Amino acid sequence: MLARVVAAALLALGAALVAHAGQTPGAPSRLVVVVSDLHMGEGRRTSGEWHPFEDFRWSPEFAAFLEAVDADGGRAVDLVLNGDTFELLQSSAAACRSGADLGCSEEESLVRLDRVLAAHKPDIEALGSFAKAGSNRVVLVPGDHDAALLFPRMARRVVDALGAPQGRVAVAASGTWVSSDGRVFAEHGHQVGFSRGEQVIQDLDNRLEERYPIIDNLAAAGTGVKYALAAADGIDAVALAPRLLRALLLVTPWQQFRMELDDGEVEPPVWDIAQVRSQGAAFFVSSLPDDDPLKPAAASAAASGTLTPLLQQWTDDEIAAVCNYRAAVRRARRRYEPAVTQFAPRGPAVSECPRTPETRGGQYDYFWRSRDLLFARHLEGARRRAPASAQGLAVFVHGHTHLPDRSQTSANMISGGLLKIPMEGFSPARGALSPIVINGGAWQRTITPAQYERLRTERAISDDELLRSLQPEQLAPCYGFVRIPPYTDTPAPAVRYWREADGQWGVAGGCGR
Amino acid sequence: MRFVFRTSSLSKLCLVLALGASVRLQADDWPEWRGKGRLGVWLETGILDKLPDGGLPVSWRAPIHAGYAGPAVAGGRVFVTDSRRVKANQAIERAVALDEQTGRVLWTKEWPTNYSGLQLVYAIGPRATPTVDGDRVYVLGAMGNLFALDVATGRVLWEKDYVKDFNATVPTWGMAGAPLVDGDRLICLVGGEPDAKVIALNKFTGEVIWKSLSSESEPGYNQPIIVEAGGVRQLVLFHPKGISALDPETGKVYWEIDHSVQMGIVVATPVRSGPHLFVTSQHGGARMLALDDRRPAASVLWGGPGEQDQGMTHDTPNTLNSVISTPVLDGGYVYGLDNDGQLRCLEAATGKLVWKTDALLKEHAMYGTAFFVRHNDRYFINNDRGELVLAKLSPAGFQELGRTKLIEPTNPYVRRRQLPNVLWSHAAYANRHIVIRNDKEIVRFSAASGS
Repeated sequence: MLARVVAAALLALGAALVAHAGQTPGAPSRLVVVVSDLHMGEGRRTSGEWHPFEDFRWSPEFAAFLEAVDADGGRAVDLVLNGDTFELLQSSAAACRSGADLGCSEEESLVRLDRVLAAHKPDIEALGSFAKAGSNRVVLVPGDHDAALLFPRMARRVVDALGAPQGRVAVAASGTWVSSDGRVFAEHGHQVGFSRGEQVIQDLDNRLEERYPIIDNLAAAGTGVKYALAAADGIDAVALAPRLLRALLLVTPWQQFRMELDDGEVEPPVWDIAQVRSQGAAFFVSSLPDDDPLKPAAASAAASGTLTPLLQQWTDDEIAAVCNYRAAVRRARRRYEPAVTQFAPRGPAVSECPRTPETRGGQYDYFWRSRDLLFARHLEGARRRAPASAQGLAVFVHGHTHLPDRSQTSANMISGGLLKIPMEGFSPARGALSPIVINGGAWQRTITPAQYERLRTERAISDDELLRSLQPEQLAPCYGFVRIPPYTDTPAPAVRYWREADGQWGVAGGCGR
Repeated sequence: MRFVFRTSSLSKLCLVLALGASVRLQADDWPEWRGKGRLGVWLETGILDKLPDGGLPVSWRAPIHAGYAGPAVAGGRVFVTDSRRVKANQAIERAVALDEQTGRVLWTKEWPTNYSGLQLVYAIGPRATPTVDGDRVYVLGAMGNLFALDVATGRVLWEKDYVKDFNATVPTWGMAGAPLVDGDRLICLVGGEPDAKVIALNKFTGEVIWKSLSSESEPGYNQPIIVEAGGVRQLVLFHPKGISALDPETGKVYWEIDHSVQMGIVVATPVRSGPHLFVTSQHGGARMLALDDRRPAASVLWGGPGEQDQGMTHDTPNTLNSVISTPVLDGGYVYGLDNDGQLRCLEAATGKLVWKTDALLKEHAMYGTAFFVRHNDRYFINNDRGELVLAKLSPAGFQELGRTKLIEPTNPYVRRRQLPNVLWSHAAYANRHIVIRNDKEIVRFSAASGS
């Protein structure tokens, strides 16, 4: 029933957007570039080495990127820094006395911000130069790691640091950037989806990143913690299992799965939620593949009884989301598809959740069913919040997961009737080409679990050895962003990559293999 | 020299008469996928040398519904499977028996099915060619419904449902492995769990004789074959995890070669010639195995990249990445169609590219497909444009001897280059005729010399 209501809402949303599109009188002819998740942190230690917490070590290529964007847009660019530009959650020195759960006060945040701005002077100068050039504009959208930008003095401090003329730099106090025609929305993305309790991930990042500087470069965000837990001593993963399972199982359904959406009616399976609930804690254990680093801790937690009350706290939608993900992992493993889940396509597949008797198939639907549901709800809210002058939400750009939507491939298409129409991103409205949701990933060097595991196999070393030795600089020099060319009717976003190949930096459609 | 009619000459005469009888007996059936033994070889005599200008004469044509399954011909009957949609994903699949001489429908056997879960563009009907064995024909639906039917009446002798009976998950493009008869066994690619990727059933009763191989991977879309090598008979299976050889009587694994193929797309049937066993797939590329001649064992002689390998492009020379087409292994050379529809010739011993050409499909064609049937020193090639091409394949090149249109391609294909549809059904070559189907009709053409 819920699915039908959401489907109806989606259709209404799609219809509304089409109507708006037909009335479009014109559009701003400016290039829009959206980058996110830079995580500029506290820079180098006094010894000159990068602090292990520092993820943004890319000043030369960032400056070159900004110059290229400036040239690409003819000095008339809207550059959206879409959240987590600054790493203000994680700090080795400037503690927040307000307590971890409450975050930092404005004063405490300012101390952290000043450290970051000082550590990233070249990057701030590059941004300032960009903002001063032509009619360029820079907007900072707060993310979960720099939510403190919502404090007025914090926002002012950043704007001042860039030193651009009045009106060229702004902080989106609403948490959302909306293009002047109201068609493109950008949010960091942490607002979308289930309440996953990601604080447990951040706590572990804080404890483990000094030893394993690479863990938050694994995409999707959070997955690095699993490998670190398997490698590290002294952390009671069993005690953390209930919170970890919530954070890590529920982040997966809205990873950017994209398979061919087919023509015709499909009948997705209906999971038998009652039967799942009757499984109790075993459901969580069986939701993890045998080689998932979290599985031993989950099994121990289940045996000790700490997971028993957990299932009652989960909603039916959350359980269905995990079931959808299990189906995707199962298929990816049995077909040796690394692209679907980003996990290595090998090893025994997980089993599917029990289905209601009348359903049997529909694998082309359930991979993204939960994701579409979550984004549909979120976009409907965004549309309601949009200014009345907005013509209608056509593109929603986000980041946060560090995992970009796959660039245009044969497996990233949406059905447009008999012919497949290539499409960047996806639409949560079934069978529609709009609105488009697109994830630019992170302007970071990242590695997927599949790539990580391949590296570990090639080097024949343990997780501990790899996590200790691998530095962000050793990852592929490739940074994701979303580019929306100037348009007159319909914005057409695309994930692109600032990438080094054969000694040359340039924009590419992918990172290579 | 004067011809003297002596006893020895009588013997010769007897021999000639016997040969004559033998020639008459060279008319032959086509009872399974790629004909007897799954070899793709047409042994009949009295076959035309050149294709007539006006095309091959039509013996008959009969309407049928949609499907990819090629026909089988045995005992004066043509067997084919098809499907018609009734509502949404619900369809009626059926087996059809036709009189080989007239095309008259002798009987049909229908069963309901539901294509939910298949990639729907391609969910048009059964894939597997019927297998005829004596008075039984075995047919397999796209969703894993297996029937043993009486060839004369279509009566169900026994039936299995791969999903319900063996806990199989139907792969994305449906169940495609045509059952293989070996002695009293019917060997089926099932993908059942646990450890029932391949199952041998009693061909008379349907009872399970053995199950073998983990279903950690999908079953794929391949056709099991039996080869004799290393002093034993080996059941060879090409599946998404690799190549396995089993004892067909027990299911015991003789040897396995790891070769993971992404998406589970292993379609082209393995081909064997002498010590060589060759497999190819779009994503996995090429693997040439050397069969041990003293014991049941094999090793990789050479390999060529596929699309899952770094740096692979359509210009990569020493490989073959066929999607659907079963290649040819002939005279020390491999001939086959790659994923771009390019016909390639490789040295069997080394994998070295000898030549490549677009002359068969006459276009650069993703998922280009053709079926090769050897007849003496020539090949009858059915391409996915519905054409029959008569050609010679040699290290010197592709020599086209003739080309004629047989049937309209009607299989839907959404990324086809020049044509909106393709033809992905294998033809049957039986009794000096070619029987071919599309999604609307099945047609029998005469290929007899003098046609």
